Amino acid sequence: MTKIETGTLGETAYTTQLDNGLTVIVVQKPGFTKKAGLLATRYGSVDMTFQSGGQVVTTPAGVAHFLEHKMFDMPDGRNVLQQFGQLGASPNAYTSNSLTAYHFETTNALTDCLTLLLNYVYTPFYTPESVEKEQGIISQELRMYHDTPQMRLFDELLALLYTKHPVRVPIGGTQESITAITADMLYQCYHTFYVPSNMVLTVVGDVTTDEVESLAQQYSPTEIAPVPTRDLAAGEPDTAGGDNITVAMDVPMPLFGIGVKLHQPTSVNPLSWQIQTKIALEVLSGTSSPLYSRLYADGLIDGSFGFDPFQFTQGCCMLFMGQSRDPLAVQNALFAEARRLVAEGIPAPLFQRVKRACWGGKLRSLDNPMSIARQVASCYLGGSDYFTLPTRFDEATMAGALSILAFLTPERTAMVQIRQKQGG
Amino acid sequence: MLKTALLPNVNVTCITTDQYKTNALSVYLVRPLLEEEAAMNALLPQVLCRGNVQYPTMQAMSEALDDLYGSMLLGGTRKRGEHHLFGLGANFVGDAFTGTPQTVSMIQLMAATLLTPALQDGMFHTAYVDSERENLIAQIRALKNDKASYSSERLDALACPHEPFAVPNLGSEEQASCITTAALWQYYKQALSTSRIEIFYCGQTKADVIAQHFQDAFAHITMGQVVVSDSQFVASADTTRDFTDCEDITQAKLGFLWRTGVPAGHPDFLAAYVASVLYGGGTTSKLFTHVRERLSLCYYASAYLERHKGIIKAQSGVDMGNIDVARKEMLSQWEEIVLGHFTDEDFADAKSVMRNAWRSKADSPGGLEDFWQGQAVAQLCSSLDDWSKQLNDVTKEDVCRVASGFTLDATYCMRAQ
Repeated sequence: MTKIETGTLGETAYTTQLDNGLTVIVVQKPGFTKKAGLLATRYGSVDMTFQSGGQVVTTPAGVAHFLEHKMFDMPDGRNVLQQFGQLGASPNAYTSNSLTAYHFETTNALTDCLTLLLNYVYTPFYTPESVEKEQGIISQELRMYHDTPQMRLFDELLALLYTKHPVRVPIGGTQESITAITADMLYQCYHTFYVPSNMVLTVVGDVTTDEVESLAQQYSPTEIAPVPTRDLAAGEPDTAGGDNITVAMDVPMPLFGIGVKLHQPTSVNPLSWQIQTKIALEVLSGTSSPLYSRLYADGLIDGSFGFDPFQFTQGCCMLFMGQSRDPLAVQNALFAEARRLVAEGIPAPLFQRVKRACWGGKLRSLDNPMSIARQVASCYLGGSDYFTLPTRFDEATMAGALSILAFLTPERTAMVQIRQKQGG
Repeated sequence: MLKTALLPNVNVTCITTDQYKTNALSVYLVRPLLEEEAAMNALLPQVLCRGNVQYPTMQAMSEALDDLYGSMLLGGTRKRGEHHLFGLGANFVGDAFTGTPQTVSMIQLMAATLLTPALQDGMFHTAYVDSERENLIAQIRALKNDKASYSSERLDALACPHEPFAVPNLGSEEQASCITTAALWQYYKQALSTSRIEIFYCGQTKADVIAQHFQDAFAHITMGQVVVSDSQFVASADTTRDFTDCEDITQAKLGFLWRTGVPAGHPDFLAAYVASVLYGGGTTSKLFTHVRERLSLCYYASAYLERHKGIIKAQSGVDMGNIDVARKEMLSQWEEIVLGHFTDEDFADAKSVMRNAWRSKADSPGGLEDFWQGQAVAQLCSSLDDWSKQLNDVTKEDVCRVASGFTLDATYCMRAQ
């Protein structure tokens, strides 16, 4: 494997690409008892329409997530989750807008766990009966999300902000869409997206590169298949799909979410963009910003206020969320502060301080093997190299942050409020 | 691990290691869980975080933290059995990665925030108390937003109406809304001089350096008679009580509460722990394999042992139409444990899940802080390694014997109208 230069991150990392196209990344953490393994594919909820065998295929919402649930079934009837449990490991999986990942954490059974992980993810097995049974479980999961205000807020906000991009569809699909999912459909999507060249394996912990590489070679398919293509953002305007909606739920404390559509130039590295956006957001409304203090003192926001850059396949935006008695006042204050900063510039000490704090925050996230594995994989599938972080920080400039704040205009912004249902 | 008593009631637990980039530091006051104090315990750390004499505003505090490479300093309140802890916790990048004395700066900032708050007319700023009280009330109301944890809190309140355990971690809205600046200031001074204080540090700096800096910081505090906190221990339930709440939800929540009869530190503690894991701890448990996987009755179903209180709670999210069958199944799976209807393999799996969870806990500064604070509160000193060794001696017979002594005290259901 090739050693990766990690600069001031102070990590020891290696990478290689196998003959079948699978990328393997190993981050060595000497002294750690915890080891994390994560196998991810560039297939998320947004991948509903794609090219397969020269044809355009359209699938119902929620297939990527459904597939994730069904990956744990094996033809010989053995229960993968239970096998991990027997190894004392904790397995899990998640589906985001842009990727699906399967992972485990172990302290003493890396070989067995890694073998099992590769084995089950590369063994698709679906039957009409098992699909029907899973519809019941997923239906429960969707209901639970439906009752969770933060999840509803996130879904409603993306649905309002975007008019065409499939990021507007909930990750798990809907009660209706999941009933249309069949075993054949799962096989087709599996064979399109679970090809090694569309995937990455990340292993983090006190491990040797030779062992990881040889297991990956031994237990991943030998066939070479093309990476699927898709055009998701076609026809999506720069402006927000709507400006403001209110959803009634049983919430004693009203919640709000604000989304701002960004336009990421294709020439800019995705990781650079993420860092720049994070710094811009901290300068605008982070805890040490003048705006935060003012809104907090006025009782317009509380400690629950937060924000994040949100990047997904072929799109990105920034999201603000929190609780407020007057979300519109918060939104207007954000617009006004962004305008002021764009006009007057960012004070140099504020920019430097925020940049240093963001860097410290990244360093602090490097103590958890699973968190490292997730970040490394998500960066890789998003088109950048996580270990270039020090360089990306060096590249972050005040002008870059200002260009991002300039997107904060009413035309690009949508807001969702969740308020107490009458009589609830 | 090195534990030192700085003063008669101030203890420091230090783990010196260069394994992590992040250092963890916390200072918590240990109080008994009481209805009249709970909301103040929740409010105080938030008011303290608003500013100290050196950094009197929130912005000045945040700037200082940004300068320390984005360190986090957060006020917190934790309910552990019937002990109620409040204080400050910090996460920061270790000195080796910044080339600056982060640890000493952080100890000074933390001590200053706890001991020398920003003052106005000799007490807390009224504006800080007012706004944090409003925030606390909002946070108490918002608990209802998360139905899974809200149903868990309802189960505590309904099952233990005459025990301090019924008091929620943040206190009640009624108690919070009548806290005045003067009353909070009075309570702050009283709490500082009458509470046991537990300090925890994990990072590169040596224990004697940490102890010395805290020693200096706490030197001028006059300690009075310390208020002892202990858990009221209810060994068993005479009858099972059933409770139902109606809420505007689409997925029902089920909850069960057993009295284990096993207090924290009791020799049977690990056998009770194994029983809870066999029943509902992870993917090899009865609840997961039968209620979720085999019968598809729910999206989640799990159980855990609250070791400070000596109870086991099981919780699940189920379809409205399946409430009765899920409840019956969850209870019959518990009977299977009591009857010893689990294989040697199940038993070994449960132990393996526990050992792995403990090793993982020992592998992060935050996990270590959580564990050692839990031990400190109950005045126990065994380590996770000790637990691992003692676990070898726990037999199937031990588990059945201990589990058969558990009594189901309450069942709970949150459903739609």
